Amino acid sequence: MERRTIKVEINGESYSAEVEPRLLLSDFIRHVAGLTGTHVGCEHGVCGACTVQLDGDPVRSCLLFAVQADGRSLRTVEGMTDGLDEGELHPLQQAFHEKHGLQCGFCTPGFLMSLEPLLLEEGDLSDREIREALAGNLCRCTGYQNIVEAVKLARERVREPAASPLSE
Amino acid sequence: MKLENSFTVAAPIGQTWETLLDIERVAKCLPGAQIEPGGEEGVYRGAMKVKLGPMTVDYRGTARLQDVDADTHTASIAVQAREAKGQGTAAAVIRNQLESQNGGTRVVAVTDLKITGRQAQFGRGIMEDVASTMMGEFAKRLEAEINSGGAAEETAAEPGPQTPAEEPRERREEAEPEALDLGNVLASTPLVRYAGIAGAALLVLVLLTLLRGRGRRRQLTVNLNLHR
Amino acid sequence: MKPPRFAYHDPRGVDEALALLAEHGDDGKALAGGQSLVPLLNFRLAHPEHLIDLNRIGALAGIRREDGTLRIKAMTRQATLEASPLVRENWPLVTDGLGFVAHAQIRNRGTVGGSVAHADPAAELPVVFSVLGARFHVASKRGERAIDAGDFFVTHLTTTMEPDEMLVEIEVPPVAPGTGHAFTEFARRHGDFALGGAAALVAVDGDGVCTSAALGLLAAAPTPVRATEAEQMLVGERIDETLAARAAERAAAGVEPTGDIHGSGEYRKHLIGVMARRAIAAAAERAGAANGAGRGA
Repeated sequence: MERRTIKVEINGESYSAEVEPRLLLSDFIRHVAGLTGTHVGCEHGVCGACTVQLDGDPVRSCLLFAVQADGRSLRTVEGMTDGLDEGELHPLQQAFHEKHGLQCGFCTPGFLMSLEPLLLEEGDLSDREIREALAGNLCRCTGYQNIVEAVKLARERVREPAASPLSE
Repeated sequence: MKLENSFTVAAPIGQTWETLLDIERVAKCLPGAQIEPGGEEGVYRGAMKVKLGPMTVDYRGTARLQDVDADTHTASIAVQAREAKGQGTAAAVIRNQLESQNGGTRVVAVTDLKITGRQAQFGRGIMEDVASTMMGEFAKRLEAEINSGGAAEETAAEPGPQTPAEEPRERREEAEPEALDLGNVLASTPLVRYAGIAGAALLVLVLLTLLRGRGRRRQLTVNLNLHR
Repeated sequence: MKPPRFAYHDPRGVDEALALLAEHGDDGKALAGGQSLVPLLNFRLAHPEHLIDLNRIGALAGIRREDGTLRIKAMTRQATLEASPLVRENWPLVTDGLGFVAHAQIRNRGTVGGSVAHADPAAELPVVFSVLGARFHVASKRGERAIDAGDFFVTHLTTTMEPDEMLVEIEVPPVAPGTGHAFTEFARRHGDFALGGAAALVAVDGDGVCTSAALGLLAAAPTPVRATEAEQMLVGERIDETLAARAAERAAAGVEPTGDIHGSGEYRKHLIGVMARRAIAAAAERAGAANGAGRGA
């Protein structure tokens, strides 16, 4: 299989490597870039553990080939604390922590990547709408209720003028 | 799972029986199949490539005739196959029975089929339909073949794309056999999530082993390990 | 699991893609959004020798309205179509149907054309486009041709496209103002493949009499189903609960879905009837309301 040299920007940093075209983006992120915050669960797009943001849109990294991200810009969970002080968490992460929205943490990066856009969504979000937004990520530990609460708390804080700014 | 297919042909039982053992003619009814010449001790090696949409399955296996009885016009085949690149398996015992009926012949095939592997995960109920349809399709073509006495053209009446399965009529000599494109064959069968081609492939493998070989019928009663 | 080896091509223009398909179409596969194909590759249920990645061809994406007709380029992302105000206002059935397509993360990559070409009968877009009477424009090195939705789907995962052809555009005719629409689907979890579903378009005249009806069924057969007998029952009548139920019953009677671990055949048949009834009733109500109030659906 002909290898290709690709250059992918992740969280503002450039990663270059020679890869087989069939290398999944999730594997590139974990093994080539060494960013193991992104997790691999099902490898067929159902569980959401591998969700990252491509040009700001949450996507399944297990359903993309690394070569397809050549020249593109990604954000992974590690990028959520960029620009924050040492020990400071992204508002969504902080809310997950306070509301106990994680136990084993395996699904959590996927949830964070998927839910981050929700923080800035206009208007009110009902519980049902939040749950629908969660539907693309599976969690075996929490039963989801605390994740819903975490989203509500994070939205409250982010949309308050006094809240800490979202890092991008 | 158990499947039963039957059809009736106008030809008398003797002719039908002989046709069934005429490898070349029967093999025409199975596009996409390939069997290796040889076959020691009545064991035939075969391969079958089946395609549905973007999916393909490659089966390799063996089949052995057993309990072949010209007097009662019955023959059983035990098939064992595995995916060429995968962990899936397929096993079947297919029992064929011919009966004289009003000057013609009734062919009854009862298949006991067992599939493992990815394809099997996706929908057991469907495989029955698929395998059944495959058998039905093969039976239809075989019936036409028997009735025509060898003169009829293969008719591919299904709507749909020109598939590789139709082209090999001409190219069979030179090219590698194309896949059997189930898209055409299964036009009237409901299929659930990407399933069932294993059953179909197995069926075809079963049938082709009955038919292709060296043109020489082999009797073998050794293998008593019937798989259920 | 990891995907098998393949030769990877990423053409930058349509002509290049068509040339690649002409050469490798038989043992190759076009890669659109990848949300259906890559799982098949990861499971090794598919092993194309060549993968022709269409994602670098900018000319293949876009939505526009031309002479009242909606034209969607094949590589348009489902999320883009879903967010389009043009589509929401004039073809709301598309917008509603898209809301049921998997999850937002899938729709961010999945393409409109890819879903149509993948031809899964439980998918939303093939049924929606069937109900809307869309035409699919496919191209190959040999030229272009247009295929009506009714002639496009052959069976599960199979269309009338040749191996060297690819879908380039979906053409959707205008929907008469005042037409009521409805899309319903049932799945165990939001975003799962439908166990059964229905899409309906109903138009009524000033007296509330149905002038046209289209009813499509999901996961009812190997292809999207147009329940034409049910449609005919509705035209010329005032649609009330009873008629909606009878038409839905006729629609369900016309299909024999096969059961599996997720639901038996009888259950699915019953479910499709329920979905059809709800879709007819909701579409009829919207049509009535629209007509009464004199505004578009």
